Amino acid sequence: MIAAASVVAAPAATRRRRTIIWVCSAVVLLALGVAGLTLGDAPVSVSDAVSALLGGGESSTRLIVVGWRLPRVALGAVIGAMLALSGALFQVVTRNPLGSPDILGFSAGAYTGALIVIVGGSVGTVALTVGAIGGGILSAALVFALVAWRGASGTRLIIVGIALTAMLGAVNTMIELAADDVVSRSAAIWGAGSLNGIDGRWMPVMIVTLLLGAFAIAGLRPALALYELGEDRAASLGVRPVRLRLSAMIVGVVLLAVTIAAAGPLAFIALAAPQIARRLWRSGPMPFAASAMTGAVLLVSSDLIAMRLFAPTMLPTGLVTIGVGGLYLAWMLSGANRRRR
Amino acid sequence: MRLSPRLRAALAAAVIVPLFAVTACASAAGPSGSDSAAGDTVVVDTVYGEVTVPAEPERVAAISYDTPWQVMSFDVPVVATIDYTQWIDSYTEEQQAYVADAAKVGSYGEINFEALAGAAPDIIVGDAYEVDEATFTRLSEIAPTVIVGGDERGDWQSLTEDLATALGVHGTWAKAKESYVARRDEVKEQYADVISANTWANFSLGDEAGQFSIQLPTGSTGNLIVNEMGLTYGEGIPLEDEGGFGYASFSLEQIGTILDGVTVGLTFENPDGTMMPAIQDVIDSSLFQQLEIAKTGQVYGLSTSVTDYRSAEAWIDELTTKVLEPLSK
Amino acid sequence: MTALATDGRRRARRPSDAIVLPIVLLLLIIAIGVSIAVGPRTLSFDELLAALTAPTGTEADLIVRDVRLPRTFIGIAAGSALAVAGVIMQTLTRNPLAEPGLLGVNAGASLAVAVAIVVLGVGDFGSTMWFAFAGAAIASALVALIGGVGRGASIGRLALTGVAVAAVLSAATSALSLIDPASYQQMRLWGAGALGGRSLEAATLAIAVVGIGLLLVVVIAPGIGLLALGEDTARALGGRVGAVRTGGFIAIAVLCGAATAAAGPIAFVGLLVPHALRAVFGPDTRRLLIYSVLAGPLLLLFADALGGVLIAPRSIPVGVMTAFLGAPVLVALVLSRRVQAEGAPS
Repeated sequence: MIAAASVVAAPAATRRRRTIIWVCSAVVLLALGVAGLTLGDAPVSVSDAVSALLGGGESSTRLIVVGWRLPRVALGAVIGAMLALSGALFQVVTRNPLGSPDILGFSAGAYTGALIVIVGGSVGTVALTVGAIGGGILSAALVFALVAWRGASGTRLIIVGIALTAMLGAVNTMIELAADDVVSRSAAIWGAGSLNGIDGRWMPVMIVTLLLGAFAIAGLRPALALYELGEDRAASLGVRPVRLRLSAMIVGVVLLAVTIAAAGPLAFIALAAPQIARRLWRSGPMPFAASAMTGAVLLVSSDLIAMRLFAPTMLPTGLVTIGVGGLYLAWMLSGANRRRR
Repeated sequence: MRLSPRLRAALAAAVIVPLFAVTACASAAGPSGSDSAAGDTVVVDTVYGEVTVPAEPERVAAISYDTPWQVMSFDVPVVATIDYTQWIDSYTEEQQAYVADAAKVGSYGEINFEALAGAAPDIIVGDAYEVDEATFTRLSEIAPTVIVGGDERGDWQSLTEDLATALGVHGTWAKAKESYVARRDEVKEQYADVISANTWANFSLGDEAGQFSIQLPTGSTGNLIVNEMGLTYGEGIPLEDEGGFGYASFSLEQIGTILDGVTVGLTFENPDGTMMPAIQDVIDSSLFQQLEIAKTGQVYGLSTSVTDYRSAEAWIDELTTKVLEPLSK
Repeated sequence: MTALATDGRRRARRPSDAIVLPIVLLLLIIAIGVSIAVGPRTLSFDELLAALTAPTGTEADLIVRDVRLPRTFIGIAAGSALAVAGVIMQTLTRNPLAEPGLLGVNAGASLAVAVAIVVLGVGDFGSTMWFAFAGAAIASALVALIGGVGRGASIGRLALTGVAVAAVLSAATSALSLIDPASYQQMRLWGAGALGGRSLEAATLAIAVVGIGLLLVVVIAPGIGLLALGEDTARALGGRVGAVRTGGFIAIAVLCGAATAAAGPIAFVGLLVPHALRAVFGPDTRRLLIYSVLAGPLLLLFADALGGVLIAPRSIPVGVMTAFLGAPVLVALVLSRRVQAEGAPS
């Protein structure tokens, strides 16, 4: 394995800067975590929250802080990281900053898969996850097959993705309409994409998937860094592009699909987080770890907004991420627009 | 950074794994939120299994849409309900007063668990249609939770019986049922002529603009009308309920065929006497206006919503006063 | 940059109007006829004839007048409006993928209508229409500004900007309806596009307004044809580019606003129709505009009929049907050799 890290090692100033950014984002994440644990309809002071975490304090406070808010914040961070990693993988593989799974239609596909499972009558963890992964992989395969047939240019890929999202959206609506009362209600509640009431039972699955994904990415990272230099260049340096794309895509789809099975579709984190991380890092190959951290921060803060903006009415988290992410995308596109001129 | 990717991944794991451990312990420790109840307890059968509840609960949280009114019919006060503020005008004064002081713990389908915990209930009751098993588990962490369900969408009879049993007020429920049955039979006998001389239908707004709906015997209103009171539905009304919704929606085009032969039309009205705009649209439509019931003016809006035996009896009283009495003259 | 590159092959001769026009007209008449004649309640031919020619107030007359005719009129109005708006957008932005649904114009009109209903309590069609105009105009301006139109713009970026703007606007619309459950009922199925539920007066008003929009298009049509040749060429040939752009912008706002206010946001019509016509006529803007007026309603009425039949007795909203039909066409379009998509935006 070529030690690409040492070949493209960053100069000392950049490393210092990046360390500062790491520390700052860790602090921000911690602050958001504290906010998530203390804010809410039952306000809890920081000291009470800490003692609850350590096992002391009143049992009702413990229930709220440790039983509810902690899973929500923790899962928010983990899911955000997973979405960001998935987005980063796809953006590298498609060589396109807009090659995000939610734009490419894989989120819609995973949702369709899970929806079919719900209509089939099951809402269990395993069933939903399998359905979502299946749907995600099928839609990814479809998109890439379509584009490979004619040549995978960046823009074509995006537009095929937009079309697939629209079509699967239509299919999902049709399924929901044709379903009976109980099913369509469960589908509607779950489909909004929300961390409200998210169950701790997802924690083991998410952690395991995140760890496996992280290890896989760590293994693929050198090859991916070379891949970013260009297909021919990479091939000449020993990278096998087709196999690399395939592995990266599978990891990316699995990471994405599991989050959709747990919390429904949470759009635009996969798109925005890697790009923000890239901008912070300024140079070098795609920063996966930084993307994960950014994704965690983005999702936890979106969730806080969703919870508190119109309290006590709670917005679905997915709604906030669409709004925030869409704004980010528009800003990003306008920036690209201005630069070209 | 000079750390190799693998080392970085290992560091991340070192952060994540303790987090995992804490959360896993949390879920294990979770459901001991409530203090052990002083006093007797009783085991009741619910949709999600057997639950141990206080024998005489004092702080009841009713968190599904119809549940507060059902609890109200047992003369039991509530401390927490969902937030009805936005459509409070569609409820009677008695209902409004009943929920006025209760804590608002969420909206339809989205329960605010923290607010609910803050209300410190000693029992939580709800409807299986709105509360799935995952939500039930979470609610159980706050207080013993009884989720009840009927046999069909409109079956409040067995639902309220289970509810009353869980709240320890089965006697009150039985009395209300007795009173209802007596009143029902009394009215059926007294107005037997009017009932048999007419063909009936309960209609309402449809799923979209340009549609109307018929309340089927599988729903609470339709059940009362057809099965309990023995009012015959018009022959043109299709009675199958495939989706289990308790009603069926049709295009206004079909209103002539479906309500063919119907001599008395019943619908829903707000307690203050006004009609819902969408229902008024159905009534004002030209196709409705050429029905027999529109021409003879035999369209009556009933405002009592039926969720339990007391409101069912009130509905019968309203039917008698507004419809049967005038028709028998 | 030219979006539609000629591929250098020998061009087949385009079919003449004498053949195509009668065919399209015939199909349209059949579609209108089906829309009026077919419904949940079966009517005999005599009843239909009487309803249309000498209505006397029988039930059949009322069904036709108050349920089927409005539905048909709305289908005609929205269909031609969206198709023509699609042609204009594609010419103005020099982007074969520009259409009112994809570029968020309809989402903007939708949000404006939602604000009118939820925040201001306005409900009748005539008033909401003004809001829809404003919403469509603002959304178009936003997308044009951010995505960049004209020289140097990438096709993909504009499409993506549209997706982004549409996503944010529909999220806002969803949020509004969640906050006010009473209007949620009103907005729920309209949000996916529906041709029914309007009175005959409203439907006639919709046709009238779309007619006005189309009149404006007639005025700027020559200018649009020139613009299709390229901005410099147009200027050299004496076309007033600025005026045509402004006129086109207003026409789009009026057409999409009226269509969305009447039938909810419907996507892909502005894509399907112009491209189907282009396959027949080539880049003949004048013919595209004329035939769009006829083919747009044809598509919409067909999609509506199909949606009513597939999962009977429930019906699929027409907006869902057009997405289902339009998405594969979009894919075929972008993958075909005729469209030279540019490289990825940086």
